[in-house]
Amino acid sequence: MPDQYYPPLRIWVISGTVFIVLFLVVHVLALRYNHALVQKKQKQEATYLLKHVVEHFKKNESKTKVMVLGSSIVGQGIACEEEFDDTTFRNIVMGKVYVPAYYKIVESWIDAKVFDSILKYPPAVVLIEIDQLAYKIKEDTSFFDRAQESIFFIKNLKITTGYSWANYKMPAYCGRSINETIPDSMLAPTISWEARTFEDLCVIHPELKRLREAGIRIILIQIPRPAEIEVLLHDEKKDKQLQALLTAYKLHYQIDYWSYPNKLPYAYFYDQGHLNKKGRTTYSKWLYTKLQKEIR
Amino acid sequence: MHTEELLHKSLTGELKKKVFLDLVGKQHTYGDFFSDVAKMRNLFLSKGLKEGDKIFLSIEGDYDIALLFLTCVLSGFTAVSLDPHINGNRAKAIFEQAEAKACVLEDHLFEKWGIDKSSLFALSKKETQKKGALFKKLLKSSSSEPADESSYPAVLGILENTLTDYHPPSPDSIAYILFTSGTTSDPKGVMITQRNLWAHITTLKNVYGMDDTTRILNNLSFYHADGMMEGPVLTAFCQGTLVRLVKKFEISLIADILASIYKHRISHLIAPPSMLALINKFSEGYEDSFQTPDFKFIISLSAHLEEHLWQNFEQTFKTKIVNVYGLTETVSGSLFSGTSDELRKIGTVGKPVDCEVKVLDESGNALPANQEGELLIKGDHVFKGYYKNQEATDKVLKDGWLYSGDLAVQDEQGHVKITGRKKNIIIVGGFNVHPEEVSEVINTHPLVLESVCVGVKDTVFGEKLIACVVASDPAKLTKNVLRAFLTEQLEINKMPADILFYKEFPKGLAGKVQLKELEKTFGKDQAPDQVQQDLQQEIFRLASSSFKVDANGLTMSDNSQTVNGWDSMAHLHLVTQLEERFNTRFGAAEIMVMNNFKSIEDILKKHLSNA
Amino acid sequence: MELQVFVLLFCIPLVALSWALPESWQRYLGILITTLFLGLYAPESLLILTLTTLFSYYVLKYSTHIAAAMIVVCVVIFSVFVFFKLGLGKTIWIERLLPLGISYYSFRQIHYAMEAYKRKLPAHDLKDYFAYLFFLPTLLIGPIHRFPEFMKDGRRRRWDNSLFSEGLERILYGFVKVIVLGNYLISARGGALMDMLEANGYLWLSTYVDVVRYIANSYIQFAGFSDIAIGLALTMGYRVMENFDSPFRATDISDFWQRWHISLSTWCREYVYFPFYSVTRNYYIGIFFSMLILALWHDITWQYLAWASVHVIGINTWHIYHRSALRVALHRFIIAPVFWGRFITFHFVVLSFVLISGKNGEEIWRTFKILFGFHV
Repeated sequence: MPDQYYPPLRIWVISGTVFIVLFLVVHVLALRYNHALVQKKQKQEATYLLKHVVEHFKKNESKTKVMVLGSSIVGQGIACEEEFDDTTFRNIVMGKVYVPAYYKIVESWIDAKVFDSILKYPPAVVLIEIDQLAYKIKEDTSFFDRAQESIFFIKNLKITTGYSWANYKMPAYCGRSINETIPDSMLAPTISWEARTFEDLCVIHPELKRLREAGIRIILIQIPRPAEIEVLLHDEKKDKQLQALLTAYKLHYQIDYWSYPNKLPYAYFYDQGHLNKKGRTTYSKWLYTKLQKEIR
Repeated sequence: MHTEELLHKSLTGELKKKVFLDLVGKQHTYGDFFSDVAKMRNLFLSKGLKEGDKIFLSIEGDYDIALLFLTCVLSGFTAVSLDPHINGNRAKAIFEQAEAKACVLEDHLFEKWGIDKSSLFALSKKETQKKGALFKKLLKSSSSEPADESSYPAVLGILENTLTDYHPPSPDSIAYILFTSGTTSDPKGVMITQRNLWAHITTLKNVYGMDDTTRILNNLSFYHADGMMEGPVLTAFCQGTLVRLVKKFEISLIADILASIYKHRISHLIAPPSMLALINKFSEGYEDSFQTPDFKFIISLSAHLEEHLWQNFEQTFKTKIVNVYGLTETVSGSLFSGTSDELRKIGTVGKPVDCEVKVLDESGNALPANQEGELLIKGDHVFKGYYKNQEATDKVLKDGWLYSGDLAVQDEQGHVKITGRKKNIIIVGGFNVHPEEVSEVINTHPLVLESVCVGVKDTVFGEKLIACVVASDPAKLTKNVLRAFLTEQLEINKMPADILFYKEFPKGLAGKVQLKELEKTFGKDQAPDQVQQDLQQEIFRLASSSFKVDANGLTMSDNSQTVNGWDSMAHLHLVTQLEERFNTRFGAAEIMVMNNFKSIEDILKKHLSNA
Repeated sequence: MELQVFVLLFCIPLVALSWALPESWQRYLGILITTLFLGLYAPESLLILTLTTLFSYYVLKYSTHIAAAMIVVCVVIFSVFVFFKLGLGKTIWIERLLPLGISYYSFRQIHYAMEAYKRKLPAHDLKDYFAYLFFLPTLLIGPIHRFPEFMKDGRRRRWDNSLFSEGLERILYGFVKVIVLGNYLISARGGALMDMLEANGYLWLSTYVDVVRYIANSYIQFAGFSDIAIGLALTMGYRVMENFDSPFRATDISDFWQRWHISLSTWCREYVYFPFYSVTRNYYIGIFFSMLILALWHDITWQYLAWASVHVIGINTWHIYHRSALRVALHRFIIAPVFWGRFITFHFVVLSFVLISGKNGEEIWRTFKILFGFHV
């Protein structure tokens, strides 16, 4: 038992208290400002991607334009047409507008005037990720999510204070294509879902109506999750609610629903929600084929 | 003066809240303890006792005896304390001889010793009803029993704790009388004056470097000079804390004792060599016990500390032992080996502190260095004399010089080594036993014709007592019969370790028993040191070749953690070599525990003795 | 990580109460809080732990033949351990692959049984044994601390400002190691460095960085968690054995195993190597079996077996070399042998860890090819 020097206990008490107070302060600030910050970011990213999509569409006036709206699942799950080696799908041009799913994505689309742009350069088809319309993520109140909030706030402090967007890393146009596979020991999803009703998301209804009036075909797409996770996320009640929702959309805006027919194992995924390169290719091939049939 | 200051500080000042005694987990503050001291003082004063009056003490309970002893010492009464477990006849004789003005005894002792309560102020100690005490407190009912002035500790409840006109006792008054071992006809009550006591306590405080941060662990009996003086008295003087862990020392409690060094922040452990020997033997896994920031050193006293044990213990526990030599007649100590480099020399009792010594031959001439003779001590702490025994006093006290009765050699540097004993006394685990006293008790058995008690060397207790008996009817008198008889008559420390029966004793011309001849019949135990040393050297030799280290650098306390090169493969090399060398084969469990030299030695010894 | 934070949260009342409540309640307090924790997060583990604890305690206590009892306890505990390691537990409980902490408490029970056989256990009763196995700070992540030390610390514990402070410091260091050094610096930044190197065409360097990153991360994470466990134990007044002693400073492979995951490697030495040696008198067999158990403790796969074999060969080779004339001869010429010892040991360890970091044989083979320059 060596006679070593250790800080006196009051130092621990003081620094511990300071730490907790700081954490609480940051946390309160995070709760106050994160929401606005995320919307700001989502708007920025959506605007940025939209600009690219529009340019891309302009360059390929002759091809059939398809636009897809969604979250990072879309970013990672759907390939750009250039990624296919063969020329089968060269008559389609894909424009992706995806934003990270921190908060209400649909609101960000409206905020970023995504639908206005769509109408300005109307594509033939607009694909919308079903998850954004059908579900909302239950607010998680676990310690870790709260800590995440605070960390998010600190990380984005520069942006929050309006100091600088200069170093902000905008997303890649085609989204990330990742080679890795999820280890199968990572079970149990951490997200929990709540089903939405048709009336729930009324902000999007006028927009859908506008698209419809402009003669744009709207299709809701389901991007697969690992089969084991799907089982955990869905139940009979939710499926029933989903069915009712889809019927309502069909009735009001003639919107179709495409769901991927096969079940995919873990090997096709990078994590619990995102497809990896292998999965992206498999799914995109199916999607493009179906689109081609639709266009004809 | 210090006693006055101590009392005032404890009753009203800075010491009030400080823990004075920690007795088996129960803590007593200076405030509580010394307010009880003041109460008892008031009681004795109110009964007309004056300075120099004797108070006879014989009670159980560490707190109670410490309280009453310190009351006497601080108030100027003379404490005569006697272990309540002592042989009744002897106790009675001592009690009568003491002529005390007051006594505090265990209730049952009055009857046992046949004491007439009317002849003096008598307090009898009765256990208060413990059960229901809480209940009473809750109800706050006033005690229904009438205040009883003759029963302790109930009497404490009705006394005032104010300290009225206190003045320190005069230096020449007798502080206490301790009866050392002796025969009934020749009891020796050692009289220590206030001057003797405080002079020596000051010496102890200085030589041990004690102050108010000191925490002493001393588990010796408070009826033993080393237990009381180097216990509560020294602690109070230093304004430190005394810790007592267990009511009685047992092997199964060694772990607790060692753990308490850290737990209770002990700075000084006071222990007789027999306890150190047991700790050394049964302490596996606790070798780091003394490596605490607070611990200073171990104080070994009361008996001869074997050099082998001393070295082994210090190596194993990486700590320091201070060997103290002293007698009841010198309060407690006199010579000290170890507190400083100047004093320390292993195997000796060091040098005198605050006193003078000399070594005399048979005819009373001072001897030069390195020659054996009797050790004499002179100093302020040397006692005044034996109580009412001028003859015995004259024998040992001449011109202020105390004849210790121990044979010693002093080297050129002044270190004194105790080499033998002149007086007929046996020290069993720190307790002085007069063989005559035990023989005397044995002889009272109707079937015993005669008996002699002899001291024999013992590895744990230093010495042990062997009783040699000639029975009138050998068929009826067995060991067990005699043991049962002795248990009632003798304190536990004085019980013979073994009883041997003889048809007759070898006797000289004058009819005196020839002890030397008698000892031959059972053979004195050899000093085991040499055999042990050889085995160790052989283990080290083989280990040094297996571990590729210098054999001289190895010690018995080394283990696989401390020796460089003692990895698992080298370990097996050593095991195989040992098996070849000693022509034996170890079992799986044995090989697994042989990860230190100590256990290797133990296992080898077991194998060799079986072979 | 998350679970370790929950351990920490449960430890806050545990530590506070352990100082507030009297000494005689300590054992029950520890058992109670751990029972609550396990009941909440891993009831299956609570059940297994309770049953095996009762089993090992009573079998060892009431058997007349201690060697037989020891063997029975070791076999049963080890079988339970292997049963879950093989994933057979999945047939009973789906949620978790392994009952929480089973790797640690199984080995603690075997340690207890072996010490009982050696007759080296201090006097104790059932609640002491329960308290030892239900010791929350080390329950989930080790170290595999030892029963006699636990009993000793239980006797010794006292409030001590500097010890408490030391404990808090260790916890802080632990979190810094795990979060800052492990998660951020090595995983995130190191990963970025690796990607950058690969993108720029430095294939060899990027692979090298990757394998070093793997072992550095394994070390820093595990050492960090051990620090947290040791720190928590310190705040309760217990000194738990260290688990790492700067393993990358090891000058030879035998030295490495005395510095890496010490509580497990000493466990293997004491309870696998020595028993096997004492029975067979062949230290190669002893080393073989201890490395085998060491490998199986991590995972029952061919990769860990291969990893263990490599270490067996390494250790034996080193021992032969160490006692040979070659060493003496070589040492005359080598400058800075300590440096080279460290260099070789480190790279031996790094390369051996490729065997367990790769996902399959193909990937491992590819990594080796790149590292040794055969990759085209």
